[in-house]
Amino acid sequence: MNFNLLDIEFRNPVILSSGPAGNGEEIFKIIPASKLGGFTTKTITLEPKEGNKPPRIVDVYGGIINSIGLQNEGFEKFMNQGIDFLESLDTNIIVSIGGYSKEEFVYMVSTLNKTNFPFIELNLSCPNVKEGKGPIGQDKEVLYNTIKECKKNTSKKIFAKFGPESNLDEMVKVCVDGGIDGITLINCPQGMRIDINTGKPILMRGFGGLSGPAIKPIAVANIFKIKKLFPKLPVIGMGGIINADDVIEFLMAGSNLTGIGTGVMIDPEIPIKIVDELSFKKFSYDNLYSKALK
Amino acid sequence: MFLIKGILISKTVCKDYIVAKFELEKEINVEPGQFLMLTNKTEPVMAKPFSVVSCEKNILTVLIRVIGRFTNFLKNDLMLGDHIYFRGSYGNSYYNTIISKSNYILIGAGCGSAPLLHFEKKYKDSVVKSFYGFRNDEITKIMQNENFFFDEIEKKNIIETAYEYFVKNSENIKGIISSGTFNMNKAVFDKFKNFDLEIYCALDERMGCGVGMCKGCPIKIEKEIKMICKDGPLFDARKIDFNWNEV
Repeated sequence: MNFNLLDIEFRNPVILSSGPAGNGEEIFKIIPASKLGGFTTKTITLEPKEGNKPPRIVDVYGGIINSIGLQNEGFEKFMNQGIDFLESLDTNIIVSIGGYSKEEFVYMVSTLNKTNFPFIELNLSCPNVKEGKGPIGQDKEVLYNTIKECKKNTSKKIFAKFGPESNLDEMVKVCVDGGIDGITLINCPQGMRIDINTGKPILMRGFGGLSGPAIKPIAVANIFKIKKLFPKLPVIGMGGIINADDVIEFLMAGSNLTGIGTGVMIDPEIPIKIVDELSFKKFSYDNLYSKALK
Repeated sequence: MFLIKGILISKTVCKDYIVAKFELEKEINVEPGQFLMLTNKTEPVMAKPFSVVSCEKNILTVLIRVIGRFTNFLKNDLMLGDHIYFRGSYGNSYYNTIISKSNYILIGAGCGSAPLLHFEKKYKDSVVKSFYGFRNDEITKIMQNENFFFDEIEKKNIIETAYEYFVKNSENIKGIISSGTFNMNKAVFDKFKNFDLEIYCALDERMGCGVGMCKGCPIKIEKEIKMICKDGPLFDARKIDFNWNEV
């Protein structure tokens, strides 16, 4: 299953998405990193974040809604204490970072340039605090400048992560113009559950990110749409993958890599089961996407 | 295989609770206070955490409050001979968390009583007296215990009942171990905090992964955010920031 993406060798297309598996300390006591194509860290922000108050998780049909609030110990602690463990893992590491301004992204990207991690994923869902605006991923000018500056300051491959926004094609175009190396699709769309006994939202913050099999068709549609518009743009596809058939469907939609997130919360061994199952399937990975176009 | 298959070998149900016994495909060690994640691999997709009442070799007994889709599935749809899957055990043993190791009062509320029943069975020399509180005596249709108390019959809650006992026997008590909802645990702490006692609370929260990686079940301990599944579920109540959870 080995293949090459952006000059980096992958042993298979199965990676862990950012979030549910934290920074790997727990999951890699259960499954071997060496069987995976890659691992994405939990999103790291410049300053530490204690995250949202509970409840942070609620289940829905076919998935969950989470509102973790990017809990992490901050970029400095990550650089001082988190790197050795991740560098010891026998798999490709994708570092997910979340910034509240262009400057925060550029600082973290340039600092990460001295690590051995080949990929950086930009979580663009944070609000632009410096300019008092909404998410950076929704501001074309700031997004373009952020991508351009980040690329200027690193030799790493940079991916930008988006949810299924209505103007997704426009924002991806901005990223491509800024020199992005690839796109990660899809980040969790917004969801909510209300307790019918109290009339109040169940999550403390009200809204959260919907994930799991419930969002799989949305992910497949968005990946397919973007791949058709930008055929050469590498895509990390994710959203509800829990078995090998899901991975094949995402590859057919145009993904180059496939991320598992919520799946590891259901069963931490799911990624390994998928890799094993894929190795038994007899088909060529080369023309999966082209089949979907016919 | 990481998931352990468990066949349902007995089930008794009342309106709000189930006592279910499973035969697991292999023996597992579950210390009192540890929990297991249960899943039926279909819907709801997420595994759910449950404390055990007893685990002897490969026979596991759980007390479950019927509250959502998964517990309704267990109550209404899972038949004798059917199987579900378990993973764990997770969390820390109560016995390893407590300092004095003896002379404790146990206060459980609802299915929060389950891990304390397990604890009392295994570490009976650590327990002076136990109080398991339920709203009414419905539970006695499926489980009996001489230390069950019923709010509607006693006309007071389990914390008051335990407190009255403590006041009369305080010289013999080193600590309190409480298990129930967040608000119940907070009420236990408020009731006993001014006494020279170890107070421990077993916290409950909606969980995601059960092993600490998803950051789904936080609690503030002193100034740090800890995960109930990985760092708990039992915590020194004097270190819990009970105010952090409030809106």
